[in-house]
Amino acid sequence: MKSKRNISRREFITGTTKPPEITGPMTMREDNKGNKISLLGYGAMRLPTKDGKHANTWAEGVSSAAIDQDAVNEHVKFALEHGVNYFDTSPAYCRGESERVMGEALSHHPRNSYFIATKLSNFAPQQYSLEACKELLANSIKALRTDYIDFYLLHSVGNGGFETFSKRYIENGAIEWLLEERKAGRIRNLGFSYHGDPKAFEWCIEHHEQYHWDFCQIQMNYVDWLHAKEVNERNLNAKYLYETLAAKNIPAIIMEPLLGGRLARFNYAVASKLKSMDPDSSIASWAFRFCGTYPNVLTILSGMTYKEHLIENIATLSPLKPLTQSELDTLEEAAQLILQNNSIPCNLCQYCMPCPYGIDIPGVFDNWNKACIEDRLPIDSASERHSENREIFLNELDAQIHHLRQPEHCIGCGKCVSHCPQRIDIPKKMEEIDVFIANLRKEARHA
Amino acid sequence: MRKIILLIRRLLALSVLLGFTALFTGYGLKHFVFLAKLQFWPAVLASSAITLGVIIALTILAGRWYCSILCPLGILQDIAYRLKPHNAQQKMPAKIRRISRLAFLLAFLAVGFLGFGFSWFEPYGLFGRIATALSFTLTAGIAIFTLAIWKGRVWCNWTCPIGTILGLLSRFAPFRLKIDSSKCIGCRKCEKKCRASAISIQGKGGKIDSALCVQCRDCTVLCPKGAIGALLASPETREEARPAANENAEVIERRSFIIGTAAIGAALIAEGADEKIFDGGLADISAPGIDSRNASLKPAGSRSIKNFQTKCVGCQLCVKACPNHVLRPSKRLKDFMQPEMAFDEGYCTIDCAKCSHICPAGAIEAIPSSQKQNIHIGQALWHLDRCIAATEGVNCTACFRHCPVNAIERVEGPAGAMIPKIDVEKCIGCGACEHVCPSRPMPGITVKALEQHRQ
Repeated sequence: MKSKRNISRREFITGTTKPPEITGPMTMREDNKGNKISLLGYGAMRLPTKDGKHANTWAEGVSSAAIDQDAVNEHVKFALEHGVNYFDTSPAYCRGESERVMGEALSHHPRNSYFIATKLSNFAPQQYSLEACKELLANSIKALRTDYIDFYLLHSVGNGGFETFSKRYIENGAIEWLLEERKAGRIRNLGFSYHGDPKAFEWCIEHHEQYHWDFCQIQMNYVDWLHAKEVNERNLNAKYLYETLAAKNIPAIIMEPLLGGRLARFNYAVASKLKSMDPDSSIASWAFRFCGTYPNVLTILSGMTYKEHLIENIATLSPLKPLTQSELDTLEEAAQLILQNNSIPCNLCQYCMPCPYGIDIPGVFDNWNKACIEDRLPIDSASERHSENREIFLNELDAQIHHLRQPEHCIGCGKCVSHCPQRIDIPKKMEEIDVFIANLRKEARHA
Repeated sequence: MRKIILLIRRLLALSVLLGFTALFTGYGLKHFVFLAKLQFWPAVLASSAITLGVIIALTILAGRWYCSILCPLGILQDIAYRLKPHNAQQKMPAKIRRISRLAFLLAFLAVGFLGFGFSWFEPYGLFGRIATALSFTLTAGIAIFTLAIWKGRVWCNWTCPIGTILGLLSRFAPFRLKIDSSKCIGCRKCEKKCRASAISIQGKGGKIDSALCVQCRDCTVLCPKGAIGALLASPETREEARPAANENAEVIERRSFIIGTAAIGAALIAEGADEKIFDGGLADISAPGIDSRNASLKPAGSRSIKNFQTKCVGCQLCVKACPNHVLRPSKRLKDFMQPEMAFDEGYCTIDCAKCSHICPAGAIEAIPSSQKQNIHIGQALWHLDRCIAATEGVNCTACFRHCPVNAIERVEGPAGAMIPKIDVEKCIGCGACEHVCPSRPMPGITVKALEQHRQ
């Protein structure tokens, strides 16, 4: 057997030393109605495209790259064969293509072998009317090639503030209509996904007796567990959300277990911490095991663009090895280290996109975060690696982002702000990064 | 000894050409910019007495060494000439050649003194344009190169005004190459090989026309008797050797400039994804249109548009060196291929004076970068009918935030949103506002050029 100490530094940082093996059956959880649902849920927000990226990606020219239907078919087949039976999509995902692609992929399998989750994604004011909501559900059912939706969600409750929530679901009578649809069986389970204004969450919980939520989708991971409020004071900690739901016996569905991949790639300090527990476990596996450790979690969603992601995540949860208290403590220590770097809490969900002025918001943030993770953000001009780091930073920026899509061209109109589920003050961040980049370029000119 | 001189000459030429290659590919800006400053006509324009003194003295004493060790276009032609063996006698119609040389020299000076720039037939500028692969001069480059393969230094002795000037200077150079008639056996090897068609052999002896000879010195080694050299014990006997009367006049194809005017990218306004329904994707973008200014903008250090146009040889070195991608060659005839400023890819940053430090011709005079903020090269103008804050009421702060001299204030606008107000005293015309303005197809704020730069 290979010694656990005998790994290279690169392996140590980036991945496992051995390929993930699926050793047993997928861990299943039961909801209140007795449905058996896989602990790993298949998220359809980051579907693969033919050019090898994911469909919500930010790269130049993506608008012409179609989703790779063959790859999705293959992923869905593989997922179903390995026990994954929960598929989460939305009419808004992948520039509106996600439902259609998932409908096609799932149509090859018996309808009773999987659960479909989709959402009432009525974000635009012209979609607030009840008629528009009805049309959205009808379109979803049609695109997914089915007669009913297993799990239907009010999409991103609280995003844009309580007033928006009220306009989208309460004042227009949408919520009453959905209760009827649930009674009629076109919707089997009704729930909501929560992002943003705590008032909206509290309102939904207070009205649980009235609406009987079958489930609730929340953002949970070992950073947000105790520190979501630190990242942004308007957030609620995941621990609070989870415990509130558990107290009401509402099963929790987990989104962003990896924070858009940010919990899968770390700098040396954090990676060391995780690897010290078990050098053979991948960095990402800890995030899944963390969520799975909590019994009221019904399923953990993951947008698995590449098959390697799918295999690895299935392996992690087949079956789940719950974390011990000491492992939970170590993850908390890791979370505190993660919070110390300068990264921006962007999960690349692309809800802010498209920016009407063409700024590549997630691309800019991703470029920044990558530099943070790799410990090479050129922020300290006294550092001996500063000029090298500056060069890398600027080269990567220019290679990945067209100059007209860089922060310099943000006009500060603020149209993106209400769309961000992480509630990042995007224009402010853009201005900061703009000044930062301008200074780097100035240094480079005089170097 | 002759071999050693030839070797040194070749090595020098090769290193100069390599240096220029590095210079124009942008890898050796710091180290090789001195080569540009050693060029003859740029030195005339920049009035750099030392460079001129050295070149002129060298030419008066020893002939056109400049043409074979310093002029990049000349070296390039020498390399081309080596690609094909030359054994036939090179005969050129001397009369037509003389007329041609004179005509080009006069045209060059006339165009220059009339204020259209000395950029037309100046060899260094032409080399720069060829090296930076400027589309229309690439044709000229290929023409010169091809001509050089077959006939050698045709460009240099038929067209090049600098060649003509240096030819005049080297007419009676004491150390020019000469044929020792006491040694010459009349084998005509040198005559057949001469890339400048400068040698004419008559019987046993002959003459090298020092106005045409570019000092490649190949003949000194080629001669089986060692009869050719700059220092001869017994000088040539025939001072005035006339070329043969019946020459096969050859028609030299003149290169023609094809003036291509590239249509500048069709502008598309960013798709107004005002109320989003789907996530992800990128809105279409288009580069800001390039304003057809009152006159072309010239960088700080140029003093005035006129000064710039008079001195610039259009070598494109500043275009290559500009870290902000602001400079590009003009497509108009009157200042053809001389650089001007445009802000679709960047703006002229306040801390940068790179172009002023590399210009070999003094078209952009060196200024300390700390002075840049005090030099007004243009004046921002706001357009009511374009600015999206005025036309669409968009809350835009782009120009206001990016102005490096705080010349922009925001005031109440007609559509509710705040609009920019420009302080003309502060504005230096750097183009930051024009570059970041989101209005399409044309920016809502543009820079007007100042004829005379202000300090």
